[in-house]
Amino acid sequence: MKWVYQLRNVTVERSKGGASFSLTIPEFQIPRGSFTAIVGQSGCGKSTLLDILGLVLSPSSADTFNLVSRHGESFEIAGIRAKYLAQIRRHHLGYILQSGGLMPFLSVAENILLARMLNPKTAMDPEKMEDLVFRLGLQDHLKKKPSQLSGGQRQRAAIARAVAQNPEIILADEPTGSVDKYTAAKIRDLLLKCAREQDIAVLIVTHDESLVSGIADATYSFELTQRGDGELRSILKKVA
Amino acid sequence: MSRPSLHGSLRPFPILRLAVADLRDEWLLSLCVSLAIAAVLAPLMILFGLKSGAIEIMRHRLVQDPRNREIRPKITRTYDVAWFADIKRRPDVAFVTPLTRGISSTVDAVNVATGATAKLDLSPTGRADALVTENGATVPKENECVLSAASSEELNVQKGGMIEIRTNRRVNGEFQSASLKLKVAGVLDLRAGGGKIAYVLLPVVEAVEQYLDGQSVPKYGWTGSLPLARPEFDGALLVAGPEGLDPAYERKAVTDTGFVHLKKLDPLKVENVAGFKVDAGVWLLRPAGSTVRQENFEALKEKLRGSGIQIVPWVDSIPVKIHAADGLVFPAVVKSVPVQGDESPHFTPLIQPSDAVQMAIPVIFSGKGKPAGKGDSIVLAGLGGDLTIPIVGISGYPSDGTLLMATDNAGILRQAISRQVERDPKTGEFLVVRRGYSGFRLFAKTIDQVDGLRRFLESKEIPVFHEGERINDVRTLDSQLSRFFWFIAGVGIAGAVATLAASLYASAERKSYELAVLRLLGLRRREIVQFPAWQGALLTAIGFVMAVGIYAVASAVLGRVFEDQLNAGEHLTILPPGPVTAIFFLLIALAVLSSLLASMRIFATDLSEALREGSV
Repeated sequence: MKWVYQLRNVTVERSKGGASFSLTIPEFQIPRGSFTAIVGQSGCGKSTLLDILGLVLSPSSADTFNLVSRHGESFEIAGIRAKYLAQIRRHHLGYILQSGGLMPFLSVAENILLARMLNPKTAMDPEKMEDLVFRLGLQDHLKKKPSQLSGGQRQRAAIARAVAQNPEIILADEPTGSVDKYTAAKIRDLLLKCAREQDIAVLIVTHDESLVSGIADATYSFELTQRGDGELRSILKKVA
Repeated sequence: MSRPSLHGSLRPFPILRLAVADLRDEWLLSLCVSLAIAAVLAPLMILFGLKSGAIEIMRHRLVQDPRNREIRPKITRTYDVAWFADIKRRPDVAFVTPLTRGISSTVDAVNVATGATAKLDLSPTGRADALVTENGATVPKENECVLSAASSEELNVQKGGMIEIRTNRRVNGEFQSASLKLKVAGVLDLRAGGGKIAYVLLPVVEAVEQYLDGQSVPKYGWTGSLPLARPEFDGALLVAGPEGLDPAYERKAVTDTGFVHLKKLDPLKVENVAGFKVDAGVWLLRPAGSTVRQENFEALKEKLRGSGIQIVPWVDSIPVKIHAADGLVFPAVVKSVPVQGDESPHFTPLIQPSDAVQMAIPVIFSGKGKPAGKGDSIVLAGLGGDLTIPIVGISGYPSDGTLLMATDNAGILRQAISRQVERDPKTGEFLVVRRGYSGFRLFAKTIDQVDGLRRFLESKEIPVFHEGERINDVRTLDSQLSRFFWFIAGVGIAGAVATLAASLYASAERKSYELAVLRLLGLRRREIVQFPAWQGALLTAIGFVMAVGIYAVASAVLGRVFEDQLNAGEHLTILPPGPVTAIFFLLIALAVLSSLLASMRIFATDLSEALREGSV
């Protein structure tokens, strides 16, 4: 099995204003090209997990925390300095944020081109990119600014940018949080289709289980324990 | 339908492109920031422009007008030829001309074509005379003149016209006049001065002065006397007969004769110092001043009438050089000796008239020496210049270097020691060259050298008129205004930078989510800091360009308003490119520096927090 992420016994502890929160990830692996879903209500540790996977937050301790590239390069994230983490993010990770995470001052086309600006060598070539734009139905919106797009169109533009970047994995944080159910399903399908074709793994974090049930290769959730006053423990568990 | 290409990569300068895209997206805000910067810079530029312009106009007017480099003496005294030669050699002197006596330089002028007349002052000029060359004319040749604006107007004559100058004198109750035609080589600008002046070469002015002095000026056909050299003597020898000198005559000899000292000499020594032998007593009479002339001898002869004393003019030995035709130079000494008709019953000349050699002036050599002849000459180095007397024929050089010369001729040599004497080669007459000049007109090379020259001249006790004060005033004003300006500029620029820093900070605050996304996408710290830096630089550059535009408009308006006060080629406002470029880069540097504040704001927030904050 080829993995993108391999995590074992990773913990994060956070305390804020007397309340403390800890997340434990006993065993977590993402195979190459797979679709992984993380579901759960807000406050259970979804964002924390995503921050760890997105190399934005360093775990407090980790037995194993590896990111493996297509070419077999393996990064031991725990020992890497922030400066190089940015580099790894740039080359190996794609993001879709709740509101898209598009630059409001760039046109749709420019936002997609950010992918090539970041990775001139590994990003999609122009023809493929054009193809992608067509499939996402963005061809008539390229000149527009994100503020001129509907919520669904914005997410499609974000998908285009993430896919065009050609990363190992796309981390999608509530990508359908701001659209209706019908649009949400459509966006999910487009994301999965485009990612599969590029052999890109997808991880979706959502509170809406119905969006991923029966579709995801693996689904994880959190087991919460309240301990005493203001102490919350969360453990990642595979549910499907 | 044309679609934007997906072929690009936002490269090169990706961050610059992002920064520009953001500024364009928020163009109204960007415009406001740039306008705020321009609002500070434009008045500074106008102020700076006015300062530079005004100072430049003042300097220009000072530099341009040669009057500001002119130095004239306040006092009249005699400046000899050597003095002029010395001052001309100074590196800070561009031009100097002697001036003749003011009274002798006024002439009547007539426009040859129309008959219009005017009284003009003749003023000497010459090569590199800034008064002429920098006021629209060229230096005249000897048969030409340059007129001042006023004289041109009164004579109604322009460049290329002819005028005739006329000068009058009275000799023995008879009016005489001389005239000279001059071509008008140019007319000076009005600023050269309001006087009615004709500028001519020095020889023309000198000729007029000579004519007024009663002398002739052969080259212009003006008749009159010649300034003949008159013999001068160092004293007189009184040669007595066997009866000696009566003490009464001793007193008389020094009363109202010009002679004051009387000294008895040893007759035997006389033979050594003078060229003759005496039988009895001999006395040397010395004058009160340096020399005596013929009239002193007349007076002395009158006083000693009936005393039986022989009076012989006395000239001290005069060192000269003999320049032989073959190039050799010998030192020699001239001694005066009475010849021919001067024999006295009381002494015997050593040299007989038959020994006289053929010379321009009769000289008798004592003894025989190296044979020489035609082509050799005697050269006397006088204070005013060399006097050269050719030897027409000679029997031989003296072995001891003593030349015996007839007393009157030795007297002329004596005069040539203190004044310049020239020998007219045609007539063989010795003429006195003018002693010196009563004033001068001088131009320093640059206005900055005027003060140094003033100090030099005043150290020589020549107080002068000059415009040094005005030059210093402008320099002082310039440095004062500069200080003033830089103070205001400092305050203003600090304000502009503060405005910019605040707006960049606010922008970073506003865009913290987008900047966080860029960080998430993997832009490195050194890339992120470029974002506000480029924006700061761009906003400043735009503000600067706007300020230049505002300055240009304001400068054009000011130029129009003050048009009447400006001469051609003068600008009320000047932005010197050097300082302006320096200020531009200083501002850009300050803008980039102030953007660091925004960068600090960006990195102060934890990335994960910034992402959450923005996404809410």
